[in-house]
Amino acid sequence: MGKTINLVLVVAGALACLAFTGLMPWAELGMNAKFDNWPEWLRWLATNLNFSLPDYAAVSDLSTQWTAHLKKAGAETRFGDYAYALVMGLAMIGAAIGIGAIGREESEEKTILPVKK
Amino acid sequence: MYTSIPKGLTDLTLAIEKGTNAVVTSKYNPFYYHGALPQFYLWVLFISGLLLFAYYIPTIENAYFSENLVNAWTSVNYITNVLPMGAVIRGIHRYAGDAMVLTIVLHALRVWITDRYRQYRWIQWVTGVALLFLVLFIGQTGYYLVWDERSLILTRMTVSALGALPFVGEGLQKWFLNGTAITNLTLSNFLFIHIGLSFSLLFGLWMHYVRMTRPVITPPPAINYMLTAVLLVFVFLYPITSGKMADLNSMPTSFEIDWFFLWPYAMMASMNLGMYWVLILGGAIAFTCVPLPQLYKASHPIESAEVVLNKCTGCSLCSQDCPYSAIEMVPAPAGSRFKLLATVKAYRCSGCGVCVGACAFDAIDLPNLLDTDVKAKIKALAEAK
Amino acid sequence: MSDKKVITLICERAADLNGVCNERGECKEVDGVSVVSLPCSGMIQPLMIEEALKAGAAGVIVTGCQIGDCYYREGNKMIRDRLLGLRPPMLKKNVDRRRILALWLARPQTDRFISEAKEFVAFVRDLPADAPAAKPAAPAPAAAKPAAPASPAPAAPSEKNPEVVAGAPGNANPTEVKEAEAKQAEGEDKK
Ligand code: HEM
Ligand code: SF4
Ligand code: SF4
Repeated sequence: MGKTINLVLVVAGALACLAFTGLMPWAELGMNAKFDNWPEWLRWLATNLNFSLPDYAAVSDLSTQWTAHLKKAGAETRFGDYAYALVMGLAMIGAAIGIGAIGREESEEKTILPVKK
Repeated sequence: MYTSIPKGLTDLTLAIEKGTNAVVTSKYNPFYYHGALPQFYLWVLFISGLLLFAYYIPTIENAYFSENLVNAWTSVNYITNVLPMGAVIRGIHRYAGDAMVLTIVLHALRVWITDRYRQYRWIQWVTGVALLFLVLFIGQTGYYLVWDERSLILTRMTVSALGALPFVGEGLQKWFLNGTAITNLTLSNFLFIHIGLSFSLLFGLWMHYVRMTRPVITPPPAINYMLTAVLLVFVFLYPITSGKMADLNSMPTSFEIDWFFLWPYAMMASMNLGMYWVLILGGAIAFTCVPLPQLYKASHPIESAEVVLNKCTGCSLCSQDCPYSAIEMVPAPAGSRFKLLATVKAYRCSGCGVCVGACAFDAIDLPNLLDTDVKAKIKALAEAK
Repeated sequence: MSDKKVITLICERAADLNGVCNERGECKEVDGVSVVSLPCSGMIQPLMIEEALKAGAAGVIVTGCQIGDCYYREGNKMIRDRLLGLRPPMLKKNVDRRRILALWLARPQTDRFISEAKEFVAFVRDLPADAPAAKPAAPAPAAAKPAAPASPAPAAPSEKNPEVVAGAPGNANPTEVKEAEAKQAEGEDKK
């Protein structure tokens, strides 16, 4: 019983951690990952090695919502930085849940001594 | 036992903690890291503060840059709005301070509710109170540093409050302003107080910890992540903003209160200054006196452990296990077959008997509960029909 | 099924047994359980547990507060680690581990203690008896000697690892100790 819950928590925590970590580059680019915003060396690599950089189109809604919130709350510029803090925080919560689930020591109100052979 | 505290309160706390154990297990129970939480936030404050310090300019105005007015407020503005991640670092520093106050209060409440505050622990309690007041004052100086209109009001209020103190008031005003008026020197003094006192916290903490063996000061990583994550989420939800730049010629009158640090100013504003000092100083003294022996009923007096000189082999197990560093290993007297001898510092001893459990030679005893008596009782009970 | 006692060594701040014990320490709720309370579970010496079993107890219940909440900071972890053989002094090797139960219960958890104790008493009384325990009257005097193991101290040179001193009967001086333990060991082997 406890084992399954732990496993579920580990998987959920790890997935949350990865998902939010994945958003960190997007936040760092100011919540706008269009090709021109990426650092030059990555653009160079992408062009020359022929791979494409993610554009995070799927989360563009978040970008508008979060910017609106931040403006309302009084922030003036660099909204991406705040978003970065948020996704990093959420990724850390995911990590904490995962690590906690691995490290939990169950049934500790009772210690039964191992019988030595 | 928990004689001086309402039983319902302790039982409720124990029940909450037990419930928390059932969910996260004791290894991750934040209640069991009550002292480590503020300590963790202190490290966060040191690191984020160092980063802010790199860009902070402690002046109210700087003649050489008067065109674009490089002063404390503009440097904070630069950190917040221009520097990459500057706003995040500033937010972390602000919220870590709030979190530290909150966790200190929870820590103090827990040690009180669970009766861990008196007798041989008085040193921890008294240094703890000093630490709390230091932290509050350091936090307030942090609010002066921003040098917006709130800083200006706070500075003026502090000056008049200090002035209300008899004898020392005027001297303190001069010390606080670093002169007789608000000048560039005032802000460098604020910065010095803010950082200097922060480091003096380490000395206070050393006194707080010196009588505890292996104080629990580092929560496990999962808790650390949570503690940091909370800060980051708050940074996003409530971005830090400065008010308008302070103008010495203006008389701003109202400001937003941070209830963690600035509540004394709310008190100041609502009563006369004499009353304010009576309440603050009286409160501090009362808080310090909580562990006075007259104020609680101990279930039994502490009788410190005693070493049986001719049995002690000097193995030092007891001194390793004693939770209050009360056992010192000293060189054995001449003629002994052993190198070391355990000695109990009675003023530190809690009478817990952990040393008795640690000694394989029955060489250390609680005078009011000899282990030979315990064993005799065990034997009698085991043989009883 | 025997009617031997189960000794409970308990911290006075852990599960509150004051209401369920008589003044001699016998638990009214669980037949056969006798309680000895100490200021902290960290005060329990492995020797005390051995003493109880040698004196004919069917088992020993060690009880401290919730792990992490020791009033004296670390006492319950100390005795737990001693029982598990992670911290000296440890239980002797030949002690029957099945006869020892450790519970970590906060003051309001009296009911939990009672239910665990009932279960443990039933379990431990059904265990096949050891050789020395089969006739409680006979081994008792022999076991009385090691009850005061103070005397072996001089035999243990200070350089010796205390674990060895405490854990291995071979280091103890009086021959009675060896005999008593040899008997016990035999008893265990037979099972
Ligand atoms: C800067 C703030 C503080 C920090 C970082 C801090 C940290 C700690 C730590 C790490 C411990 C050791 C806990 C353990 O290992 O058992 C401790 C113990 C203690 N603290 Fe604090 N503390 C602070 C403020 C306070 C305050 C404000 C009080 C009370 C007014 C207080 C009262 C105590 C007492 C009485 C103990 C002893 C508890 C025991 O022996 O179990 N501390 N503190
Ligand atoms: S554990 Fe016992 S023998 Fe070892 S130093 Fe302490 S009192 Fe002496
Ligand atoms: S009783 Fe022993 S272990 Fe406990 S504080 Fe005193 S000397 Fe230390």
